[in-house]
This record gives sequence, C-alpha cells and structure tokens, in this order.
Amino acid sequence: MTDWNILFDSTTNFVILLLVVSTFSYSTFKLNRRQASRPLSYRIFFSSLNLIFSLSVLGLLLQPSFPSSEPTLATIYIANQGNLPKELKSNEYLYLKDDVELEHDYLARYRQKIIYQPEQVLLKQPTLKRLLIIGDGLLPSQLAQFHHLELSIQPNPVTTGVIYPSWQPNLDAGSQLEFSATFQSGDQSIYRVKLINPAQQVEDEVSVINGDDFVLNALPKVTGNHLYQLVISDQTENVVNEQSIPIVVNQSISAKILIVQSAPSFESKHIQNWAGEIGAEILIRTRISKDKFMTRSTNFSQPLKSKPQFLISEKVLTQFDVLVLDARELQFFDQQEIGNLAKAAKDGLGIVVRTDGSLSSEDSDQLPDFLSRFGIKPITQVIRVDLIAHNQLDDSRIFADSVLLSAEPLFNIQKPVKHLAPLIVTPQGYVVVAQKHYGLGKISLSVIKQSHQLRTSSQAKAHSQLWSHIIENTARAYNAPEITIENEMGIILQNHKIDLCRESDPLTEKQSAAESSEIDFSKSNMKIKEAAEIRTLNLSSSLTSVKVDLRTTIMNSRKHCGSYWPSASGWQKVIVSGIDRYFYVHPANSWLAAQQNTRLNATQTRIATWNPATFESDHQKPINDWYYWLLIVVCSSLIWIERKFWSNQ
Amino acid sequence: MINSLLLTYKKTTLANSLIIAISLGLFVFTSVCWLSNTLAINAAIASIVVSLIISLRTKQFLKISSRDFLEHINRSCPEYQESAQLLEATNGLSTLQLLQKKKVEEQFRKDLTTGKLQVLQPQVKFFTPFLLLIFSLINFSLGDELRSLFESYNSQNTNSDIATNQDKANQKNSPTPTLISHKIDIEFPSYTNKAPISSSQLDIEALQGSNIKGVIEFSRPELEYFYSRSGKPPTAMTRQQSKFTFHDKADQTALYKFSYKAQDKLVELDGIYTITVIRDTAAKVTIIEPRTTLLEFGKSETPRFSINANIKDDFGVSDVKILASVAKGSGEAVKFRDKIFRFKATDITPQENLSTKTSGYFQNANYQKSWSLNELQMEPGDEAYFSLHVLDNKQPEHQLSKSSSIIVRWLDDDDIELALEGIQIRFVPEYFRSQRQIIIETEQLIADGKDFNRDKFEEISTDLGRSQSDLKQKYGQYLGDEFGEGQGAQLGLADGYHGGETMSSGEASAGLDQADQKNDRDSHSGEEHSEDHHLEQDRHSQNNQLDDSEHGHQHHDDDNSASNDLSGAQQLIDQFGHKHSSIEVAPLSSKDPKSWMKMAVNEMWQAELHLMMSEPVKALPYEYQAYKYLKLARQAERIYAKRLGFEPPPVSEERRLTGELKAILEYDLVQVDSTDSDSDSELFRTTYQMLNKLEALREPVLTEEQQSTLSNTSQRLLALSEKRPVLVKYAAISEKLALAKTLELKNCDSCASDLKAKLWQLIPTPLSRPMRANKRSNINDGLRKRFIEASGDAL
Repeated sequence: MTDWNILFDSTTNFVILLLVVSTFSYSTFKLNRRQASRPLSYRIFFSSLNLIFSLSVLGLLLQPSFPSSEPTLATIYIANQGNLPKELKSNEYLYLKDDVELEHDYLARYRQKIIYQPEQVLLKQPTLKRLLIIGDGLLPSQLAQFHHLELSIQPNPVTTGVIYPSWQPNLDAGSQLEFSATFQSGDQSIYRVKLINPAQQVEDEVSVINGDDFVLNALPKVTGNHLYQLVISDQTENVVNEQSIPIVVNQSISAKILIVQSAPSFESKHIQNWAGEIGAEILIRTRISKDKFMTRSTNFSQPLKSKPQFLISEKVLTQFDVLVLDARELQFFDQQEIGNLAKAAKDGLGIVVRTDGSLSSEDSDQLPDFLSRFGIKPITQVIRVDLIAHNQLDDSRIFADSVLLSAEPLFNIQKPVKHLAPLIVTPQGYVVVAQKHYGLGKISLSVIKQSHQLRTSSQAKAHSQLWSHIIENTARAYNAPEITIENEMGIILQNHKIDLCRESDPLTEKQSAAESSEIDFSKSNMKIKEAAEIRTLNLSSSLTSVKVDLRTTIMNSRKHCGSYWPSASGWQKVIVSGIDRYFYVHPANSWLAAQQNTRLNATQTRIATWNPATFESDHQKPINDWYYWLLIVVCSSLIWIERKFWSNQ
Repeated sequence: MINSLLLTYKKTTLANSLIIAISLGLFVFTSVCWLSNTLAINAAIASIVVSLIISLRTKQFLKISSRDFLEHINRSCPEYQESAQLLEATNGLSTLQLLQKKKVEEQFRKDLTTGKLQVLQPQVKFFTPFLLLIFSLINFSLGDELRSLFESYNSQNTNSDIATNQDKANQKNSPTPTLISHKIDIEFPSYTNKAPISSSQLDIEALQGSNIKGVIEFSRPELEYFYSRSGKPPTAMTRQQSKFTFHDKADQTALYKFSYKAQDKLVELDGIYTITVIRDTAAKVTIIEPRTTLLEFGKSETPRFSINANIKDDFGVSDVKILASVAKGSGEAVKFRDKIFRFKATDITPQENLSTKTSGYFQNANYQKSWSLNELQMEPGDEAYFSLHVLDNKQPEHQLSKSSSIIVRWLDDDDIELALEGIQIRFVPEYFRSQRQIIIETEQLIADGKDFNRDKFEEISTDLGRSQSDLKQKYGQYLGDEFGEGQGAQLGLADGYHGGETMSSGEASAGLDQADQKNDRDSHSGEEHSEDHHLEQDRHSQNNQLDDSEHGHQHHDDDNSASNDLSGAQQLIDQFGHKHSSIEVAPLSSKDPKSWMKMAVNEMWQAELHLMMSEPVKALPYEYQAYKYLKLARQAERIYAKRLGFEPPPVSEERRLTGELKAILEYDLVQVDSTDSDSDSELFRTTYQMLNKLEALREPVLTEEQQSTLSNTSQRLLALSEKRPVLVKYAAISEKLALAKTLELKNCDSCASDLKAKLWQLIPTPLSRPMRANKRSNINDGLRKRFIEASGDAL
C-alpha cells in the first residue's frame, strides 16, 4: 500500500481526509466504550469494519490510483503471406493485413492475439509504452495512432520487386507511357523486367540488379482503359513477380494552330501535314510578296472570315491556342501587330518563334520588345546534336531513341539565362528550345533546324513527339476541372483509403472563395458541396454504385474532397457533377515490394523523428468504484446488524 | 402374454432390419453423391426399400410365430421342461398336462417378473450399421476427389471428337440440325505429285489450287443443306444417302459455313470454319559463287570465272535460264546484246536424296557453269550482266524467280575505274528495303507466333535469319567485312580477295575501312607527311611489299601500277594502304556513312544470331538498330547529293526589273485532312475500343451496330489474310462474335481476348498530337490577370 499515490493537490482533498479520519477515530472510540465487555477479537473485528468503511468512503471521494502492474511492452507481427510467426507469446499480436490469409488452425489457436487494425493493440494493452514492430512496418496513418509510444522495428527480408513505381495513369492519345521504378531484391542476381502490352507482347525490357533505377517505355495505340503488365523474371526465365499497370488513354483536344511565315517552308508544310492528319485545326499564312499572302486552312469547320492581312489582330488571335512564326516574319510586323501579339500572349496565347537560321545576333536586336527580352545572343556555330532531348519540366524523355537534328544552340544549361526556362536540352547540355512566361501565355524560341527531315527519313513519330512537346508546353492552357485521386501508398489498393477530390473551375464559379475577401473556414469545412458516385466495373461483381460526400477543404475552397475505401479490385469509375474519371483498384496483395518499402520508410522515419520527452508519463490505474461501493454496503450492513442486535446484550 | 412377447420380438427384429437398411441407404448415398445428388437420393431410397423388403421376406422373419416362439422358450429355458406350449393350450388337457401347465405358468409368471424372458428377445445389432457408417464417412471424405476425377474424365470425353451414341440420339431429336460427323478430302494440284489427304478438321489448310471435298452428316438428313463460302452465293450440297457433300477449290483464304432451308429461307447453322490457302513459294535462288556481285578483270587477265548457284523449290523446278546481257561501248554509243543460256545435265548436282526431278530439274540442286568472256565475244572495256531466271512447276502459271545480277567488267587499261569514290550505298538499293522487310516479317512472326506450331515458327525464323545473313554479306562486301569463309578470310582480308589473283579496285576498296580504322588508332594523318616522304615510303613499300602488314601509310600516286603488278602485291598494299587521291582517305568519323554502315552490319550479326536460334523477339531490337544506322548512313550520304534547285521560267525583257507585283495573286486554300487516312487501322481501332468496353460488362449483348462493326472487321481481316493466312482465324472469330451477338462463345473462352490482342498488333503506332495544355494552378485567371495588369510591362 506504500505505493498509493493519493493526490493532495487541493485543500478539499485534505479536508475530506481529515473528516474521514476523524469520523473513523470517533466511531472506533465509541465502539470500544460501548462494547467494552466484549472480547478483544470482537472489538477488533468491528473496528476493522469501521476502518474499511472509512477507507472506502475516502477512496470513493479521492479516487486514488496505482501504478499499473500491467506490461508496457508489446510486439506486433506484421506478417507477410507464408511468413507467419510460429507462436504468439503473451504481449505479442499478429496484425492481419488484407493481403494475408491464415490457416484455420492458426486462426483458431490465436484468435485472441490477432488484430485487424494495429491500433487494436491499444485496446488490448492500454498501458502500452513501447511497441516493437516485427515485419514491414506501418503506414503513416496507422503510425499516427501510436504517437505517444516508443517504437522499434525488426524489418522482414526485402521482397523482390519494384519500389517507387511511377507512371502516368492518365495519358493523352499518342503520348508515351513511361514507367519508372527502382528494383529491389534480396540478392545481387540479375533479373529481367519486361513491360508487356495488352496484346501480351513485350514493349520494353531491361536487365536489373538490386538498387537499379530503370525506365520502360510503351506507346498505347488505342484510347480507353488498358492493363499493361510488368513482369520480373530471373535468369532462368521464371516469373518472380507480375504486376498490372493500368492506364487510361484519353482522346485529347487538339490545339488550334496558326502558322505565320515569311516564305514557304518545308518545316511548316510538314507541321501542317502532321497536325492536319490528326484532325487539328491549322491555318498557315505565307507571305509571298511584300503585302500578298497565301493562306491554307485545314480542318476548319467554318472558314475564318478575316483577310490574311488582318490575321494578327486581337480578335483572331484569341481564336487560336498557339502561334508558330518564323523570326524573319516578325520583322514585317507593324507596331499595331506587335501590340496585338503582346496582348494576345498576355491573355494566354502560346507563341513559338522558329528561328531556323534566320535569327542572327543583329536580328535579335531588331526583334519586338517582348521577344528581345529573351536576351539571347545565339551561338552562331551550327552543331549537329544528338537529341535524346530531355524535357526539363518533368525530366522525362521526349524521344525513346536518339534523334539527330541540326541546331544552333541558344545557351548551355550550365550557364542559365535569367527568366528563361530550358524546354528541350540535348544530352550535351545545349538548350535548343527555351521558354519564358509572358502574362498568362508562354513564348518559346526554337533553334532546331529542319526538323521536317525526321518525317522524310521515316521518323514521323519522332517529328510528332518533338512538335507535340513544344506545342503542349506553349499553347494556351485550359483550366479544366478535374478529379484527383490520392492515397498514402501511391498505388490505389483494395481496402486502403483513397481521397477523391474535385477542383472546380473558377471561371464557372463566379463566387470563388479565393476572390472573396473573407473565407469562413468553419462553414466551408463542414459544407457538403457535392457527391461523387463510384461505380465498380469488374466482371466478378454486378455493377454497384457507391455515393461519397465531398466536403470543401480548409486550404482550398474550390477543392472538395471525400474518402473512399474500395472493397473490390478492378476498374472503377468516379462521377462528380457530370465529370467522370476511371481508376483501377489493385488487389490488396499486389505491389508487395512497394508496399513494404512505403511501410518501412514511414516507420523508420517515425522512429528517427520521435521525441520521447514529449510523451513521458506514468501509467496509473484507478480502482474501480464498484469495489468501494461494495465494501461500503457490506461494512455498513454488518455494522448496522451489530448495532441492531448485539448492542443491547 | 405370449402374444405380447411375440410382438416385441417381431418389433425388435424389424428395428434391426430398419437400422441396417438405413445404414445401407446412407452408405449408398455417400457412395454416389459425388456423381449426382439426385441419383444418390434415389439410389439410397431404393436400397433402403430393397433391404427392408429382403429382410421382411426372409425365412427368419416369416417363421416368427407363437409356436416357434414357445419352442424357442423350451430351447432357451430348461425350467419349462419342454412344456412351454402348454401355456397356450386351453382345452382337452390331461390331468398331468394340467399339473404341468400350472407349473409352467408359475414359472412363466415368475420369469416375467424377474425379466428372464426378456433375454429371449433378439438384441439390437449395431455392428453392421456401425461398419456401414464408417464406410459412409470414408466415402464422404473421398467425395471431392472422386468428383474431380469424374469431372476431368467427363471433360476429356466432351472434348473428344467422337460423339457418344447418346449425344447422337439427342442431336437427332433436336429441331435445329447439327453436325454429327464430317470428313474433308483435300486433293493437291497434280504438279505437286502429292497424294490426297483426309482430315477430320473443318478448319482446312490447303495448298493453293487444291480441290476440297467435304462429306458432312447432319442430325436431320431430311432437310436440304447449303454450303456458303464468303464472297460467293450458297450452293446446295449433294445428298448421298444420309450424308451431304460439297466441293470447292482452295483459290483464296476464306470462311465458310453451312445453312439449311426452312420455310423457303436459308437458316445458318452455328459454326464458321476457315479455308486457309497456303501458297506455293517461288523457287529460291542463292548465288554461291562468285561471292561478290561485281567481278572485274584487267585487260591482261584471263577472263574466266564460274557461276555456282543453289536453286530450291517446294515442289519442283521447270526451267532454269541464265540471262546474259553484254554491253559494248560507252556513253550514248553503248549497245546491248542479250543471250540466254541453259545448264547442261552435267552441271546439275542434286542436294537432297529425296529431291524429286521434274522436267530435268531437281527440287533442290546446285548449278555450276564456267564462263570465258572471250566465248561471249566480249572485249576489254565491255561489261556483262548475268542473272538466273528460274521457273517453278506451279500450274497453271509458273512462278518466276530471279537472282541478283552479277556484273562482270573486263576493264580496259585506260579506264581502270576507281569505283569507290564515295561508298555506293544505293548500289543495291533493294537491300535497304530488305532490312525493313525483315523487320516487318519479324514483327509479323512475333505477332503470329502463337498461331504457328514450333516447327513452322523455327522455319520462318531461320529463313529470316538467312535473309539477314544475305543482307549482312551484301553490305559487308562493300565494307571489308569478314565472314570466316573463303580465301580472304585467312588473311583477315575483305571478302572477294582471291589470293594471288589480280584484285580489282572494287575489291580492294573493301579493305579500306580496316586501313582507315588503323589510321584512327595510330592517330596519324596523311597530311603530316611531305610528298618526299611519300615517295620514300613508296619505294620502301615496293621493296618490302608483303613483309610488313602494318604499313598503313604507303601512298601511291600512280594507280596504273596496280594493273602492272601481276603478282597482286600492289593490290594487297592498296588493301591496307590509302590513297590521297581518293575521297576515302579521310579517317572514319561519326558522320561517315561508312561507319554507320559498319555499325549496321555489326547489329545484323546479332540479329542473324537470334533469328537463327528462333528468338525473333531478341533479334528485333538489333534489326531496328541496324535499320536505324542504315538510315543514318543514308542521311549522311545526302551531304554529297547534288541538289537540284527550282528553275523559274525565263522572264521576258518587258517585265524584267520593273518591280511590278500586280501579277502576284493572293489565294486561299481550304482543305480537310482525313483523320482516318488508313481505314483499316481506324476500323481495327474502333473494334478494339468496342471489345474493350464490352469486356467490362457482364453478359454483354451486341447491338446491331456493333455486329456490323465486327462483320466489317471480319471482312478486312479476311482480305488481309491473303497475305497473312493466320489472320483468317481472327476473321472467323470476328464473324462468330457478330453472329453470336455476345463475346462469350461456346467452347472458346479466349476468342474475344485473342481477337483483341491481334487487333492491337494490327493497329499502327499512333503519332503524338498537338495538344492543349491543362493548367493545374490554384490561382485563378482573374486574380492572375489583375496581378499582370498591376505589374504592367514588367513581365
């Protein structure tokens, strides 16, 4: 009883204690006097009853607590399939993930030891102070439940597979699928990783060893939902791992292109051929004399009514997404046209200036004001560059293979020019297409010469990739409302939470919170803006539909998010306000290496960053009130009987 | 009392029988339940009933009567002194009997109270039911295994072509006729000398021109049946007793089906079958000798050479001709004279034991003929072009195969041609296309791989490997490649170098690469040497000639020395040296077309290796790489190409220098580019998208539009199958899906996915599109505009 920790932290407690002790002393005194003739044992017994009664009352009023005698350390096994602990001792628990199935015997034997959520261990052992995790670790959301515990981990051996997988789940038709990942294995053997298309043909493959980063490319041929396969095989061609790579290929909206040139050129002709074949609207105006023009419009449903001389007007330019012009043509523009061009660019028009040998240092000085701010003094030496061409914006490759083109490099990436972003850079570091923002629009300067040679040498694909890249990154941007799907794993897995968000278009929502002077967080946070409907599309189950409420987020009032736990794997479709998006739910037992890596990294980060001082506290256990009441009732009853029946004797 | 005891006895016996019958029923049920639950229940009930009837009809049961029961008491209880019958006797008893009866009755009453008579009752027997129960449990536990065994056995039987009599009976009772049996006879064209064959497969593979006869037995022979082949009207089948016959000719790949007449309408039967036409391949001509396509003889040389070729055909060769064209003179005065020669019987050596002989020629034979240019009435300065023309025995029209041309030049001393000023990449232009063709065929082979059996796959792959090898050699001979064969190989020289023979400049050029590469390694350049030094080197080289193979910098300012040097040593020096007068002295650089071509040849080696090992998937990257290098070589070559500019019409004196621009007119052209320039790909793309969407649905039913799309796809695939016969299978699948109006075909679970995979292969790789960017910004345009306006031109 020495460990009792009665809190004398207030005067009230002290007064209560004093009263109870006084009452006890008085009642004991009275008992001894009244029953003086009784044997000593009799008196001791009833004095003890008085004492117990008093202590019970005291306990009930002061609620003292004990230091807990329960264990403070527990172990959670996070077992993978086929790697279960043989036995579970006391304070050891098995966290059963969705991807693991247990044998019936095992389940029956350790039913009490199996938990389905890691936080269940806290219910089993509320006094837990330290937790040992044996296995792959826990996800950040799970670790958040153990913020007050000291964690340690004994990781499992690594699973052979890919970690940090990354690809574009949504692609535009004609765009290349680029899958990148890091290979992980427990040994240093060579493995073969293949990317297999929906027709079961190998699209790309690479040999890897543990720790290798790799990139695999494929070009989806058709729009729609497709499942590529990533197959990892060992040297004996045994498949050790196979994963699905779902992609959705969308039919993108083509940019409206206006080409203005000082003279006919093969370059523009081939751009026109390429864009025209694909169905894009394209207009070419060619100067054939000082003020005479030849125009050729392709795929326009309604011909432009403007005369060729007045194409560079504010009204016409707003109808196009991108303007491609050669530098020499710029010198023909009068001040009004230059002004129109600058205004159109500020309003979002993309401008691609193609020098193609026509931009010399002297010409650069004569360029319109907004273009001369490029501040480029082009290198006059023409080099023949091997254009493996990295896109500097997202470090992805533009061409799968190297492409030879002539160019007069603008500058070297080692010596960057202020305000100028490199758009296409050769492996040697030469910038051949640079870009700057101008208002809402962008202006790109290309020094690539005669890219049409690609088309004439059976490399039409490379030509299309080059110009598609330049146009997409320059053309007028559209703020299309979109649905985003996020989760902490990076891969959408069955029974794992995903966050569905939809960002509304500010142009359609005039009363945007961003523009309002005050934002009421409390209201906006609680408001259900819209509901997302999610349809399951797999064959194994009938079409089901689930509603998810999307609520406005605190940080961005145009963004509405909701959570969803997909219970079935396969293709699913989310529909919000008439906008839909397909996504693929992977089975819980897929991407095991990536899952393991995510869990392990999160747990190790948590262990490394945890500050024990913040959470140091003693674990005390109060006595259940029922015991006090029971003792009070029993003791008072006996004392009452004694007073009632034996006092007179 | 006796009666009640007797009744108890009977009841107990009956209970025993019932327990055994039920146990037996359980045993029977568990023994049969894996086969069919209904059958098991019926069998169990039957066994219970039978068992009960048998038990109740046994003598043992029927003999249970009061007399026998009393006798049983007598046997079992001696206390009754064989007088138990007295218990039932009422009248006519003697005194003694009465006394005895009284005694027995007392004993009986006593036994009743003590329960001794209960012992006489039969015991309920549990042993047999217990055994049956054990066996039942064993049966039950084995049920799953038995069921799976039965199902596998059953499915094997289902897949078998032989229908059971029961099935046949069912088919005969069915109102819709079905095929009961079929036999296909294929008679090959007479020129093939192949015996007719019979097949039990309705999907027919036949050589072009074969006659097909099909004998079909339908379940309802009383009807009239028709044979419908794609693209042709249905023809009535000939009745032969209960069977029907159709005749057809395998002239093109097609689909066919059967129909019957019902109420004056043709009703199609389920099932679409294919006729895949295998084409007779033209004879294959391989020139073994000479190994180069260009032979040059000096004026003083003996102009003799021989042509050795291997000619192979799948069924036989009907004629082999040597076409020789002799060109005399030069420039506009050149005259051609054509002559046709034939091989004599002695020139022909059959290559295979089983090689059959038709029209004097063998199926596979080597043909060799020696030539002397003098006999062709040629003179120095003339050229002759030889080629082999081979007709196979295909009927009605023979197929002609031509060999590559062998060019023979008899050089005049005055015009020893420096044939290789600049590599003549276009000298054999058809081979550039061949690399592309090899890639196309390799891709086709990979795509169609699953449709070929292993032997066929290997055969095609090896064939492609040989083509790759040929191509490699064709390029190699211009680049000084080594092939490990021939006389030049031992010296590490160019192919075509013939030891001590006089070497033509064309052949000598083949080694220039090696010399050039050596130059690169030595980091020397010819310009570093003075002309005097050159002369000294020349003298030195003439003295040492063959002694020093490292002399990469010997220079020769007199090309005539090559023809004067009869030993051929000069040519050997040329082989390793280089000439400043030639363009080819320049060291190899990354922009040199020759270096690109050498890289291409290197890739071809690897491609050939994998093709020969029947690994087209591994070969394909090398093929592409080779193709890429060839393209780069061609691009590089363009540097030297003469460009022809636009020549405007002459301007008249009146208009000249007037600066008048009125005649220049503005014009506007509006055009619509067809987005579906390739209708096939667009159709295949649409069909693929349709199948992809339908697959996600449960039990999809095709709309009429979707059926029409599938039918169109089938037609296009059928048309394409003329060149790629494997596509006929997918044409059939497409047609079947259209007819079935669903993606789930009977006996073909993977049909729809197979078709999808094939369509994906057939769809060409798309081009990237000029897209609009999708902005992902949290700042809206209004805010941004305001900021831009506020900042003025600072942006």
